[in-house]
Parts: sequence; C-alpha cells; structure tokens
Amino acid sequence: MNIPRTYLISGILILAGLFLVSCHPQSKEAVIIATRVPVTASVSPDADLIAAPDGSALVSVGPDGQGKPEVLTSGFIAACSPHVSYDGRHILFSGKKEKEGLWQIWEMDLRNKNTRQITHCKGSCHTPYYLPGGRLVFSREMPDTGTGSFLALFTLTLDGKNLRQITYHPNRDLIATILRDGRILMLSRRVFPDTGKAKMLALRPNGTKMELFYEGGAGTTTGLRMAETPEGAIWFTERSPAGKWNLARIVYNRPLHSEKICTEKIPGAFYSVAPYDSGQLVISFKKPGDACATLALFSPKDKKVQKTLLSDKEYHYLDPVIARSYERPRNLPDELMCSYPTGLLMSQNVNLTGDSVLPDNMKAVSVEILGMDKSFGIVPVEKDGSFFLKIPANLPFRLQTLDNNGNIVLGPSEWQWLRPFERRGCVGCHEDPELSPENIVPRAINTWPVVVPVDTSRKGVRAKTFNVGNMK
Amino acid sequence: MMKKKKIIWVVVVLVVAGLLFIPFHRFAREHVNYMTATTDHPLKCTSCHLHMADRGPVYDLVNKTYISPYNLAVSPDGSRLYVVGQEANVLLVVDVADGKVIDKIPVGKRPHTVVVTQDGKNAYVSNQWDDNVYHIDLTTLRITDTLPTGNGPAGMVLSKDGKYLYVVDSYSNEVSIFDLITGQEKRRLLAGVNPTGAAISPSGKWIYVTSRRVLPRPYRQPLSTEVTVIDAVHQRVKERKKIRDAYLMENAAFTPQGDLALITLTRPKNLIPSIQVEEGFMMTHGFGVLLPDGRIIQLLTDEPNAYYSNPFDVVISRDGKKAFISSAAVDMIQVIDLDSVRALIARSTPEELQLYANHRGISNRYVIRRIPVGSDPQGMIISPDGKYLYVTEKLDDKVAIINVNTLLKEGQIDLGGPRKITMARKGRRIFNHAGGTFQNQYSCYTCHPDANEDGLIYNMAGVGMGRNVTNTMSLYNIGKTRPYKWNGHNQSVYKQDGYRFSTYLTRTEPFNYDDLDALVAYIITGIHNPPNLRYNPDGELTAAQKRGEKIFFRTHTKDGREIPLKDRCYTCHPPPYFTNRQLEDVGTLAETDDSIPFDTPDLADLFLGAPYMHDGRAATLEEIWTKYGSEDRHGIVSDMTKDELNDMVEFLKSIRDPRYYTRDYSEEYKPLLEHIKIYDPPIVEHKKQH
Repeated sequence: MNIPRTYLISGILILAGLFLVSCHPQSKEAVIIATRVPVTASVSPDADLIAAPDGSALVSVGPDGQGKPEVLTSGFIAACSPHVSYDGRHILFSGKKEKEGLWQIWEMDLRNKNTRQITHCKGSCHTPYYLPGGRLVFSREMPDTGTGSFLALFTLTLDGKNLRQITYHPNRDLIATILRDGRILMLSRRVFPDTGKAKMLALRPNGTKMELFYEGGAGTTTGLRMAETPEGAIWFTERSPAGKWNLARIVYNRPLHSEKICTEKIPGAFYSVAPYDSGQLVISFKKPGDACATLALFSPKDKKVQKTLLSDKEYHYLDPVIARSYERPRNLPDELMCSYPTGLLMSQNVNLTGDSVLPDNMKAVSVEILGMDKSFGIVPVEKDGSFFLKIPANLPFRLQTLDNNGNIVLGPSEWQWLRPFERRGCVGCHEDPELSPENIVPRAINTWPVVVPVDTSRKGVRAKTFNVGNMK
Repeated sequence: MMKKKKIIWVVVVLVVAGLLFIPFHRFAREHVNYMTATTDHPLKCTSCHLHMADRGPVYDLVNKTYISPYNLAVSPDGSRLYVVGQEANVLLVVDVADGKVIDKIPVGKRPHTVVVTQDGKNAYVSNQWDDNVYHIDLTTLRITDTLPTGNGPAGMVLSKDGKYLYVVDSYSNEVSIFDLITGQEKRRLLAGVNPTGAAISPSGKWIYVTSRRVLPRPYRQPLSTEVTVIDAVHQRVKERKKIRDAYLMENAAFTPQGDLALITLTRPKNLIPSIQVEEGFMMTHGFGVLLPDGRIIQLLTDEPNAYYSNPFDVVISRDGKKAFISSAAVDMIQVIDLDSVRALIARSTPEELQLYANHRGISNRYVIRRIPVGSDPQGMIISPDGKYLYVTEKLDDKVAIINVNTLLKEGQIDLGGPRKITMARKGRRIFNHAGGTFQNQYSCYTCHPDANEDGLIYNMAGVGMGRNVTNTMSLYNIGKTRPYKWNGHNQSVYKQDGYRFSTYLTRTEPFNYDDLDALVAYIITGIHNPPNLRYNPDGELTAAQKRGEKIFFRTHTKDGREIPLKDRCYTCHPPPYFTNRQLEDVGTLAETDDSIPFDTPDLADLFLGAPYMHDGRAATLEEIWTKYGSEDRHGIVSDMTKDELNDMVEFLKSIRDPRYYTRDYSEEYKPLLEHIKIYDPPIVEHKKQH
C-alpha cells in the first residue's frame, strides 16, 4: 500500500504534537474554580462564606493560574460554594438571582456554562455537595420556631425531587466535605438553648450514626471547608486563639488526635484549601498588609507558599476547587424505613465515661431524656449501666444521667435524634470516642425497649425480660 | 437478481431476529431473575453457565490450580526458601539469590506448615487433609517417611535439641509429639479448640499452641480462647491460658530474650448488637502479649477509622525490637516497636492495660509502619542473618521480600502460579479482603475462616436488638443447599450478598455485579471441604455409626409404631446433602426469636464443631434433643436410650461432603428416599439490588 510521503510525515508530526501536548505538565491540571468576593463588601474572609455578598461570583482560571479569570456566574447577583461532580464536568453552587431573593442550589455544566436551578426552597440553601447515587446534600435555613435560626441538612436527587431532611437538631449545620468512606462531614454548632462550640460531626447520608469526628482545641475556630486527599490526610483551616488563620491537617484514620498546624510560622492568613497536583495545595491566602485574599500554591512538604496563582486588588479569591474527575465516595446503603415512627438507642454502660467507669458512689442509676421544651421521662438503667430506648424518629433530644438522688451525674449531652428505623448504639456516656465496646450482652437488650416519651404512670418500668435460651 | 435475493435474505433474517429478540430477551430476563433472585443482574450467560460450573469440563476449562503459598521456612544458610503451596499440594524449593523456584515436591493434601531442622538437611511438612506429616530429605528432595498424626495436622515446631517434632492437630484439638529418631508418635496432648499455631521459647522449655475457636461456655456469655502451654522438658501441658474476648489466634512468636510472647488475635463483638459499626461494634484486631509473670495483655493494631483485619502470622526480629504481623485482609504487614510495647506495659496500671484491649487510639504508640504487600499475606519468616523478612502473598502466588532495617518492600519472588486470574480467584480475593466492609473492619473470611464458620453467635439486630441471634453458618456445600440464611429468605448467593447484606452486615457500598459475579463464582466453585477423616476416614462406618445410621433412617419406633413421614429424620435431611431445602418449624423457636420457620440445614459440616441450632443454643449435638427437643417435634427421639442417641450422634458426625463418599445413599435407601422430595426453593421475592 502506497501512502503519500507528505501524509505520512504529517501524520507523524500530528501524533508527535499530540504526544508532546499530552506530556506537558500543566495540562494534567484542570481549571481552578473559586469564589470571587468584592473587597469593598462588608464581609471578611474570616467568616464562613455561605452567603457571599452581592457582586460575588464564581470564576475559573487555567491550570497554575494561567489566563484571565473567567466569570462563570454572570447572571447571578451573588454565587459561592462550588463543588465539583465526580466526573469533573459539573459544579453545584449556591446562587442568588435577585437582590432580596433567597439562596438556592444550582448546577452548572462546565462544558457550556449552562446553569439550572435544583432547589426551590422557602429558606435559603447553602453549601451544596454531590453525593453518590445522583443525589446532593445541602444546608437549608429553617424557620425560627422559638429556638433561634438554625440550619438543617437536606438531601435531594439531582432532578430536584425526593427532598429529605436528614438533621433534626437545633444546630447550625454546614457541610464541610463528603468523606471518601461515604459519610458527610458537617460543621455543627448548637444554637439552642445556648450557643455551643462548632464541632466536626460525621454522619451517613441518611442522617444516621452521627458521631464526633473532630473538635479544635480551646479558643480555636475551625474553618468550614475540609478537603480529604487519597492518602488519607484531611486539610482545613483553623483560627488560633490568637486570631491567626492557619492551614491544619488531620489524619482520617485518627482525626481526634492527629491535628498538625502547618503554617504557624508563616505570616498571613489561610482561608481555604483544596488538594492540587503532586501533593501541593491550592490555598486562599492573604499576606500580611494585603487587603485581598489571593489564590496560591502551597507545598506541605516545604511548608511554603510557592506561587501566587490569582490575585486582584479589588477581589478576595476564596474556596478554590479543582474542576477534574476524582474518585467517587462510597455509596452507603440506606437501612431506613421512612414510614417507621421510631428508632432504637442502646447504651452499653452510662457509667463508662472518659476512659474509666465511675466509682460506685458516683454512679448513675437512671437516664433522663430531654426534649426541646420538656422532659420525655426518666428511665432506670440496668445494673450493668445499660439502657435501651425506643424514641420517636426525627425528634431532637438530649440525655443526662442521674444518681440515686436525682442529681445530674453527666449531661446534658449534645442534641441527638434517631431516623426512622435507625438503630444506634454507644459504648458509654461522654466516653473516649476511640473506645470499642466490651463484648458482653448489655442487660437492657434482654427485653423490649422503653418507649419514649415515658408513660409516667409506669415510670419507665421495663417489660418482662426474655429468658435467653428458653424455648417458646 | 442475485443482489436482490441477497437483500431479501438479509431483510428476512433481520426481521426474524427482531421478532425473536423480544421474547428471547423476556425469557432471558425472567430466567436470570429466577436464578439470581434479583431483578437487575446483567444478562450475562457466562456468570452462571461458565463461572459457576463446579466440576466437569467447563470447570476445568475456566479454572486454574493456583499455588496459594501459605507458610514457609528458610534454610540455615539463608540460601533457600521452602514454601508450602496449599492449593497445589506442593512444597516449593526457592533459590533466594536467583529468586526462582528450583524444585517442586508433591506433598499431601492441603499442606499447612513446613519446618526445617537446624542442620538444614531435613524438612517436615504437615498435610492437613491427609492426617500425616511428610519427612523430606532436603539433600535429595525426596519424601523419606510419613508420620501419621491426629486429625488435621497444622502448625509444627521442633524441640530445641531437634529430637522431637510437635504437631498441632487442628481438627482433633491435640498436639502429637514425635520422636524423630524412632519416627514414632510418643505422646498426644489435648490442646484448645481448633489449635493451629505453635512457637517454642528461646530456652526450649515452653511451647505455646494457639487456638482459633472459642472454648465451650455458657450460652451468650463472654468468650475466651485457649493458648496451651506445653512443658517441652516433660512433654506435658503445663497451663491452659484463657485469652478472654479473643479468638482466631492463628500464630505465636517469642522474643529472642524470651521476655515476651506475642500471639495474633481478633476480638469479635458478637454479643453486642452490630448496630454501630462506626465504633468497632463488629470486630477489632490486634495481638496478645504473654508475659513470663502470667499476665496477658491485649493490644489493638486498629485505628479509630481504620481496621487491620485478620492478623495471621507474627515473627520477631533477631534483636527482639520489632514484631511483624501479617494483616491478611488488608494486604499489609504491621511493624510493632516492641520497646514501646514493653514501656507501655511497664508504666500502665492493670486497669489501663485492660482498657487498651478495646482502645483503637493507642496503636500509634507502637505500630511504627504499615507496609503494603500483595494479596492475602500469610506466613512469614526472617532470614538467618536477620536482614530480610519473607512474606507469602497467598493469592498472588508470590513471596514478598522486606528489608527489616528500612522496612521497605524490596522485591518479590514469583512462584510461577497461573498468570490468568480466574473469576473464582478474583472472588476469593474479594472474600478474603476487608475492602468490602466499612473501614475494612472485617472480611467474609473473618466470620467464615477457611470458608467454614467461626463458631460464634451474632446479634445482627435485624429488627430489634436482643432478638433473633444467629449461629454463623458454614459455607461448605453452599452451592447445593439454597436457600440461605436461617430464615431461608435468600434464594441465591446473589441475593444473600446483595443490598441487604451491605445494609446490615458490611455497612458500606454493595458489591457491584462484576465483583458479585466473582464472589459467587468462588463461593460456588472454589470452596473445597475437608474430608472428615476424624469420624469417617475411609467411608466405612464404625459399628456405632452403623447403628446410628439405622436409627436415622428408621420408619418405626422401637415399640413398632410407624413414624409419620414428616417426623422421620431423612424426610427433612435426605442425602446427599442431608437437607430437603425447606423451611420447617421443629419447635426450636426461642423466646428471643420472631415466629418464623427455619431453613433446614445441611448436615455435611456437623463434624466440624459446635455450637448447633439456628441460635447456637446447643453446645453439643446431644443437647439438640436432650435439652431442646424433648417433645418429639424435631424428630421422634423420646423412645431412644442414651446409647441409641449417642449412636445417632456418631452417625451424624460421620457425614461428610458427598464428593468424598464412596457409597450412594440414594441406592442404599432407595425405597425410602424415592418419596422424599428435595425442593428447588421457589424464588418468591424479587428485590431491586442497586
């Protein structure tokens, strides 16, 4: 077969060109998307950016900050909180089309920049994140029913249907990230009856199995966004008691006791972070004396801000994300039965607190279940300290343990809730979260659970115990 | 004209194909739904018709015999490795310098362990499914003697002077002591339940034998597993150490100083409702430290959000400063800094040490490195110069080489297994790996070691929390005995291991169908059952077993009354698998059970051990009738004497996998069995899996 020489050479040159282009280091990186906030706005980047001021917009810039930033949300009064889909082709963001309008969740196709509105809620919606299985989770402002304004998490399918509330406590819940294990990590702060410290809580996408994931030290403030790397590091920002915003890192395997502050000695403020290439991070960073937060590259290895990617005297650049495909988190199964009216809660030993069991003279003998405005009753605990409760689903409650005289031993706890058909267990009461349970049958589960609210006429008396091992 | 004809033919063929497609597709969909008990399995004929053939030419075509290196030994000069190929039934001789296999010595069935004498001239290989040990002359590489052992010889250790060989009989729960000069078994000692590993102290005075299954205990009470301490001087059992709340203690090792002995262990949480897997409510993993003063300390190697499942082997560096644990289900070697362990023990109170057994946060004090290796790391050995650690990568057919000083994997020795990874092999990797569970907390293998069952009763908290506890079922013969679960709700392995499995058991994303196809292929075709040499070595029943067999197949009571067909043993338990695969209520419901009938279990694995019944209430086979079935609802037994019941129990223990049978019950009891129907359970329920 005769192939004309010119065609052959042209073909080889084209292939070589394609090869060279594909090998160019910068081409490995996808574009960086960030929230651009006018510096004139009366908003400090110190605060969590969930409702950016008017004039805020999402912008994209080429790899390594190449090219002029392109405004992606020109039709919006304000936009912020981008999150990239697993295939890297879409982003979710919260946006506002009208000056006095509500924040709603939008999705943008990054190929053509078309946007579509996903939520049409009566309260403003913030911090959207993709979930596996064609769903998303976001935070929504809830009506004030006397508890103060709070934010609850909701899930939704991407077609805007199947709206489900998943958190039910009077807290201000904002999503920090979706962990690779499939759980949602949320920054949650109690707002009723008093204001608590913000903590990072992990929970399943159906709102079950909530547990403490991370809590900063005294006087610190944890930044909203967290970013998990495939290597198991979780990056975030944290303000020190002295007021300096730093980059911090915890390890997924042991988040409660692995925090490392990485930028204490670097002057300037670190506001947000996203994993980039070769172990580098894209950060939102403000140098001392500067008016604006810029986007820059940070090397965790050298602990240095290496290069400014994007800066502008008129804008802060915050909350960077990288528009590229990445590994989808696990799609966790859902055991809930939405029509089920209750959930079950078992504690193995309320007298196990911290790392030890309380001495006999301090032991609790009962547990009180507290609602928002009343007590749901007092239930005696078993001799081994265990209790087993059936609690109406989606009802916020707190627990406190009581001694023989009715005095509080421990508590009240943070707000809890159970989802329909959820079965929750805990090892102790304010116990070391790294403890696993003893392998013994809790006495409380040898009978039916005590129903909450407790029938006061029965004073939480338990049902007849099963005779374990007995024939029917 | 011809062209026109061709076009017409093509059109006709397309139309016919089009017309056939819809009914064929419908048929295929219904067929696949029926066979898998799901509605969304892809229409892949090969899933069942190729990869689930468990014998015959199709099986031979798609499957391979892998080596599956298990345990290994090294020659005194370090030049050779001797690797047990558990699946290929070989002992591989590996030249370490070249990294090549230089000889393959065929050994017995399911070889377990190899030990080499101090002079490097002799090796002993335990053949677990042949009940013997081969003596191999390493100068000629020939088998020179066969030592008959107890049942299921597994771990072995040589006495310090090299005169005695201690063989752990894993199925008969014994230790056989061989005099190597005479080649005769000198003594047999009683060990724990399902003992496997053995280690000798540096002084040569003590031998520790680890066990896998828990000791008999009151129903639903805390469990413990035995480490048998043998006085090697007097060849007697000195002590039976009960390791509380732990099981699957596969192996042991002493430090050269003799100040510590380490055992691998898993700490199950079977007595607690498995509702909060996030906090280790299912399994934790670690090691035990046995101190000369008698204290037993248990420490976890897990972390709060990461588990290192199925610790198998433990070896200790020559300087006694590092221990290496192969965590089989996460493909890692964990390196333990023993000085840190010593310091932790020295400065902690007894209460603190007790707490650490359940603490996932302290492993960072002594686990100094986690080294990724190949699939399913098992046996390990350190080179005589102490520089290298060799690790069998069982499901890769390789041996990893790790530098003991740098703690880096420096190489791999390819043992020459098949290059092709079959579906069943892929499935076995999934079965053994913990990646299918939340935070790697356990693998299928953890509760089904050797594809059997772990002897524990679990509280899966399906609806309530203290109810419906379940005895783990063996996976032997699973392809022939559907439906599954004690309530028989799952009509196929696809459904059994599908969405609900992930909801209540693995607590993470369900297996995708590619992985599920592989898992099913392994479960159906790749699980091979031990031969029950203990109770039925050659197919000939003992006198007691024969008497028991007659009782099992009896049609009349002793006083001549005819036993109704529904109450005869063989009606519900007909051979060859001794199940009619139907749901029955035989009066065994407990107060803690919801009112449901139970799937009739097959009886081919009874010989492997207690407990029995759906909730594991019966500690012995006898108890099924003496304690829990005295009302003649579970067969007619009230007219039997104790001896007759004992005879029947002896017969039940003799039942083995039909593949090992030399007799055909269907011929022998044809008149009785021709009226007995073994059901193909109907697929009554379809549930969308994903």
